[in-house]
Amino acid sequence: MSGPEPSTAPAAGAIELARRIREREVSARTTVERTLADIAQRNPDSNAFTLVTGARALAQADSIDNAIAEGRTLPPLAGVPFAVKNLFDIAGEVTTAGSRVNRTLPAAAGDAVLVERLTQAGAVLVGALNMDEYAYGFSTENSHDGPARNPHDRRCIAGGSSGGSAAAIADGLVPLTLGTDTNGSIRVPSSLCGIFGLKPTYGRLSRRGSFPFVTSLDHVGPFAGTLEDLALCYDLMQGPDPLDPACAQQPAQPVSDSLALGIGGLRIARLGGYFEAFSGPVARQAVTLACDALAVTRQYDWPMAAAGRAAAFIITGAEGGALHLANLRRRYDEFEPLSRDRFIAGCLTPAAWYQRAQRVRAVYAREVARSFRDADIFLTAATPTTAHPIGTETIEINGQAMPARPSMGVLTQPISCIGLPVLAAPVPVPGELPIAIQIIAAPWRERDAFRVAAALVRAGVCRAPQRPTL
Amino acid sequence: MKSDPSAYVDAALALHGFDLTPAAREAVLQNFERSAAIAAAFLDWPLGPEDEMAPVFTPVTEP
Repeated sequence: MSGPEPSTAPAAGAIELARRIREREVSARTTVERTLADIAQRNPDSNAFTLVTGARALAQADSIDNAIAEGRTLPPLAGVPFAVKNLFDIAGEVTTAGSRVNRTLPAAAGDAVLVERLTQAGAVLVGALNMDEYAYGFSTENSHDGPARNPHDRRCIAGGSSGGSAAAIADGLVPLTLGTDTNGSIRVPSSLCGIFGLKPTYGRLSRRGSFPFVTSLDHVGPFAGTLEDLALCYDLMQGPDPLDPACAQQPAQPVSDSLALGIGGLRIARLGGYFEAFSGPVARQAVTLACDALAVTRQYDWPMAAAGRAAAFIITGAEGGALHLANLRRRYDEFEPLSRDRFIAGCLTPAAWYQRAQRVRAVYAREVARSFRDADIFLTAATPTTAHPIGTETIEINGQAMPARPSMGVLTQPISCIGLPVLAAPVPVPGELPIAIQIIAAPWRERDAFRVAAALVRAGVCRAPQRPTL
Repeated sequence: MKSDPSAYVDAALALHGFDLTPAAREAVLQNFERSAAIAAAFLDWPLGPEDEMAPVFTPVTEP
């Protein structure tokens, strides 16, 4: 017997799919079979998936259908397919983290904490997603697995390092995915693929069971095609994890109920200075559309942003390089040609530079904390430009030629460096490929960012642009 | 004082036991020089002794 035909319409959102399954309009098995058929047929277009966990997904779908037949209360995401960047542990699978070197490691003994939490919430893991090797990149041009391709223009990058996580959503293959963000790896692909992504406050979500890159800066977070789905997915993953020393052990602070609150009382400002200098015309237009809708007139400068970005760059090289030093020495030829020499250069970072970078980071964090006396939310673009063709070596930002691969994070790096929560929200600009803005809140104030994003969705400014039908 | 990234990179590569081709060594040097140019944005930033890096170490006890 053959399975269901792949769907031709864009996939429904997670909340809507869960409703259909709960109300028996469709079974969990049919939903998962359709998703697997979609991936089999359409993944070659985007190369978002690097692993499909069909047997596990179908077994879970059957157990959900049994629960429905027995009239049991269902968890909120029962039967909803999701996928994760391939640096999250999946029980019985090797966590490759986009590398060839890791393929010789033993399979993971269990699921990453966030995979566990979403599974407990009823979501069904259907596979793992493409990424830059060891998350060191903003383009998902992976020489081992092939590049992830942008659903809005297949010739272009999907962004990175969580490129597969964004492309899978934009292509309508799954409604929810997970990724990581060290310097922009959730926000950059969200921007280039035109979907919603959240980089929560540093330490908010447990990283246990995810392959590290830069422990001082690594964050984990969700992607979704709608703001409501993003909020629910985030809410279901929150909560302390005493086994993760980097987790701040905060109690859950749900955001889903904040979407209807409006923005009354929130002071919103646009970031100027450094952030304007590195925003191209489309990026600035997107921010202007959002500011106009929110009646934002104030512009604010963070004078240490360039120093903060530089500190993040050095911390990244030093910690990321040191993590892989032994393998870089012994197995150089197996590393990604696009990043191995950057990794080695990072290994050589003088300790005094690294230590100073960490101290400057702390001073910069205090400077920005002071700016929250005057505003609750800051807005800027998520990427300097829209997606460029795969293989591009140099991009131009306001007349300045910059190396393409490290520079797509120039607007995200100064913010993750100090751990602020950021919601990447797509702002369609007519005639252009997708781009997103960053809605930046004070530490632990994700709710404020969601309130502003919801206002922009209601105003028709923020939405995931429809993928062109080719 | 003028710094010499090339001499430093060669010495540090040797210290870490790398044996790279000339092309790979050149690529590492280019990346290091780019990092050095970026680091210049903060290396002279005025810091006082009170400006510590986030000094959190979590002592561990067996459960």
